[in-house]
Amino acid sequence: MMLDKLSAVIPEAYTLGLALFWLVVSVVRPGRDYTRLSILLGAVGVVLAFQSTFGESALGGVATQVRFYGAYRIDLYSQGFKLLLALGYLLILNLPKSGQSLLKTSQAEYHFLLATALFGMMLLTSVYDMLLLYLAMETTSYSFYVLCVLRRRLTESTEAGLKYVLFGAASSAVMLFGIGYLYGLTGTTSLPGVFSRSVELGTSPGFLFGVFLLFAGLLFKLSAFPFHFWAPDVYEGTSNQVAAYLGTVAKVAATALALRIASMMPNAPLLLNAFLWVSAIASMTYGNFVAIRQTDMKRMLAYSGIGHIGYILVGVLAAINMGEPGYTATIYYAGMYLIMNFAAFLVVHACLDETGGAQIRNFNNLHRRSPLLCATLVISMFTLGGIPPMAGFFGKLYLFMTAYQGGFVWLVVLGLLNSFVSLYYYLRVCKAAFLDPGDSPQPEIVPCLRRSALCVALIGYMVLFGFFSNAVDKYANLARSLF
Amino acid sequence: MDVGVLTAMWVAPMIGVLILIFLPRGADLAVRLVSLAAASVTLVLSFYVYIKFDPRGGFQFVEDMMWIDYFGVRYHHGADGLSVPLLMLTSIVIFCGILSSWDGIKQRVKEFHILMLLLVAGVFGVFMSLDAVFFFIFYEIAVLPMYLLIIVWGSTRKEYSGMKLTLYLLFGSVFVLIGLIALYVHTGMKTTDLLLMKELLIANPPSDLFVHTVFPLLFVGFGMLAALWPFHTWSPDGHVAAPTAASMLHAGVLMKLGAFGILRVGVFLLPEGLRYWADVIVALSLVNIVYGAFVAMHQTDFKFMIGYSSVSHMGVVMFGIGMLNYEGFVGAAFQMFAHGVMTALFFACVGAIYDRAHTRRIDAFGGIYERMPVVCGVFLCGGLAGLGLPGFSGFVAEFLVFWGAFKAHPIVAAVALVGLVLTAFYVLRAFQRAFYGTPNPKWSHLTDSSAIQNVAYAILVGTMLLYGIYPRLFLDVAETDLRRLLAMVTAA
Repeated sequence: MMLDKLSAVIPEAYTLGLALFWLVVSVVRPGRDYTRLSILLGAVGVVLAFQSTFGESALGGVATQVRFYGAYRIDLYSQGFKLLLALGYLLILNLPKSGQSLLKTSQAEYHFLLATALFGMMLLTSVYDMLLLYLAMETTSYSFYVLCVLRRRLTESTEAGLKYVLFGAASSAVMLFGIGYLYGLTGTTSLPGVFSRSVELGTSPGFLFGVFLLFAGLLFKLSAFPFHFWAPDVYEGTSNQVAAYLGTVAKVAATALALRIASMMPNAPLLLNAFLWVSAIASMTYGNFVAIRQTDMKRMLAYSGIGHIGYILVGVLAAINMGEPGYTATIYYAGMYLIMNFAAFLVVHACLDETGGAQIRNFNNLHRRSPLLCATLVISMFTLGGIPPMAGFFGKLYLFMTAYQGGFVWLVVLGLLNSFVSLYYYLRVCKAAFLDPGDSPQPEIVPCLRRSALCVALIGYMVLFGFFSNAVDKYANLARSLF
Repeated sequence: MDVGVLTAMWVAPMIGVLILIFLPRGADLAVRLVSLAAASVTLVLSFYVYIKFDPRGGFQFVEDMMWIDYFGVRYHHGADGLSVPLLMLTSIVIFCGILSSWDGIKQRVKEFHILMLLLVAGVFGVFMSLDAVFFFIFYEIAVLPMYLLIIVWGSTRKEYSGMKLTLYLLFGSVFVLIGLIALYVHTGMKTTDLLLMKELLIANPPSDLFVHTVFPLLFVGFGMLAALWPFHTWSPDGHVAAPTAASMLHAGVLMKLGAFGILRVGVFLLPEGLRYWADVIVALSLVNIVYGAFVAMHQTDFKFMIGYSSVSHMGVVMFGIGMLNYEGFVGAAFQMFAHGVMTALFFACVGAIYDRAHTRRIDAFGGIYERMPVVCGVFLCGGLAGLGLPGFSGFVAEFLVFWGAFKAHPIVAAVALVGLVLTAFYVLRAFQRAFYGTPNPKWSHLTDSSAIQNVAYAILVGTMLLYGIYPRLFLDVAETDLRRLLAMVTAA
């Protein structure tokens, strides 16, 4: 009986076990290099998540079920996202730790915190209750607060961590305030319970305010305008691994949560629509235009990430108003975003030494230093910019097609113009890597076999994924299981 | 599903790219041979298509299969009377482009040829694609390598020009994409196949407002690539900055993608839109013709002069489309072909001169005819074709366009003729200043073109003469399909 119940939550349970394992290791044998072991354990996690998503023999499998006193929903959607998160986690582990990036003595803590953050994010994909939502959000956030300052000796790192904590705490409070409002109005903490009353309460200011605050907390996690201030500083200050984790996996988890909440609203209040509309446009415009001026690669990626969140919000809007196609397109885009942004971070990490900052001009002459990394960089930039035939183009195309069908014509026009603007700074990076001569002769970079293989796999994914005809159907299945 | 000759045509350069990636750095001769081999394969295939094409028209060599069910994307290729000559034009230009940059490109030879072949695969794809998504993908593949080609191997403000060109063209493709999405949603999001979309549009005609707003999106979007005034300024800058072979492909083929896109997507799907906007198109292209020629007259750099003459000549293409009669349409299609060959020839000659003299200023030369008789002679052929000398293919094209123009808008046509007169003026003047006159002793070391380059010149000049003397080679192929397209536009 007990086993039967547990089988449905194997990925989370495994991740929690993993976290505890690293906690013990951090106490017993600190200060060693655990890269290989962590990758192995992470890979096991991916296999388990895969099994729980696609495995037919799995006891719980993908049958939709609501567990833990109505607080936790397991369906194909949540399991699919858990797989994606576990995959992202595994990818992050492949960013090796150099001496400067993370303190040697905090190796095991690093793995512990990565795993707890993953655990929190996995919970987020399944939440069905506002209290659990808050708990999961905080589990994730606290792990990140500490991860951000693991590069302890650098002032920037401390500054980044402090900023993140302050903004994060404020946004948590705001969100909790919203949850309080919603609970007071409806007398329940269950998310479907609250939103099933959105029709009758739709016009009451208290309810609108509560939903608004709830979404404000969410937009903070997504770093969408106007809650984006922390992102560039945190990315710049923290180590590359954590920045990549924040910039890819955390965004996917927040998107999953946003879609989950959207799926429970039978009809969105007009005000929320307007709020998301403005936030989407402001995010893409602000993110893309400010990214143009950046000379630091990590800051640029942060701003471009804000722009991409704008696109994802377009998808959330389409999902709220259009139903299934909107969800499908957003899930597709989120999955794409994880991979393409990770590819960019991978090259950043491989080429830029951590002491000198991540200036774009440090990419100069990359095509001589390492053709493979140069190709990965150029293709990831093209994919982020949404240039055909890269996978990112298909993601954007589906997103904007559904949004257009939903009647958001101006959103589509502005979105496409924005993605045109973004090409300028993406191309500039390509130019640096492909053309500009280096200041001083720099050594060749010879990536190890594992990383070369990873680069080739990422390139293959980014170039070919859009052409796989049945991938969209798979994502559509995820979307269908939401209802 | 049967993979046929059309797929082979765009896959051949891609295979070339794959082989090149694995060739070692420094094996320049092998790189050139591989890419020439890939170009030869496409040349043979395009000849095969041209000969086998049934002049009764319609889409032939069709390959059709479902690709992405969820969105109704189909892998649908086919060639009709409009695209068959352009396919051949593309393979001729890339073949000659590789020949004429045989010893001009000395650094990063491998990357150069990889990008060239990628670009050309995209161009082939656009000319044969009958699905909006694939059409758009190929369109972008054709545009983007140009950025890297210009900034790495270019000259004269190459970074500025490369970025300007890329941003202009991608800006245009934003309009195209919005137009395509609008059409896709209007037809019920069932399919992106252009032919099926057309059927759905006939079954469920869009409102006038829809046609009148979406057609200009497509027209302006594609028109940017065809250097439509006032969106033409990227074109001379880009031509000047690009290396020789890239200029040849760019002016010879890439600009035709714009005009082709207008016909294949814009006019094919929304013929009423062309009828509604025809007068505006005539007005804009008139500016193209006359203004382009005036600006060309004032240039001191060979490449700028040719770049602006391209603006002027591409105006003739759109001028013909705007006339809404058969002569105009077929003239426009012929002009695409003729201008492609002619301008490729121009850029090949200028490239050869620049490689040797390292300057392109018209007034810096003088009397170099004695040193480089072949290059100068070939340049003269291009110039004479450009000013419309009978016997060259350019004459037939422009004659047809202006015949159509005088039928439809006699006064406008008369104004546009000024552009042609100016062409004669600036081409001959440049020729006289640079190539004749007192020999400048500074250039006594110049040598004539190499044998490999002469092969390229011979092919291009031969094509111009062949089509100029026997234009039915083109007209027989294109007639049926152009009449069909025109019938859609003029049908009330």
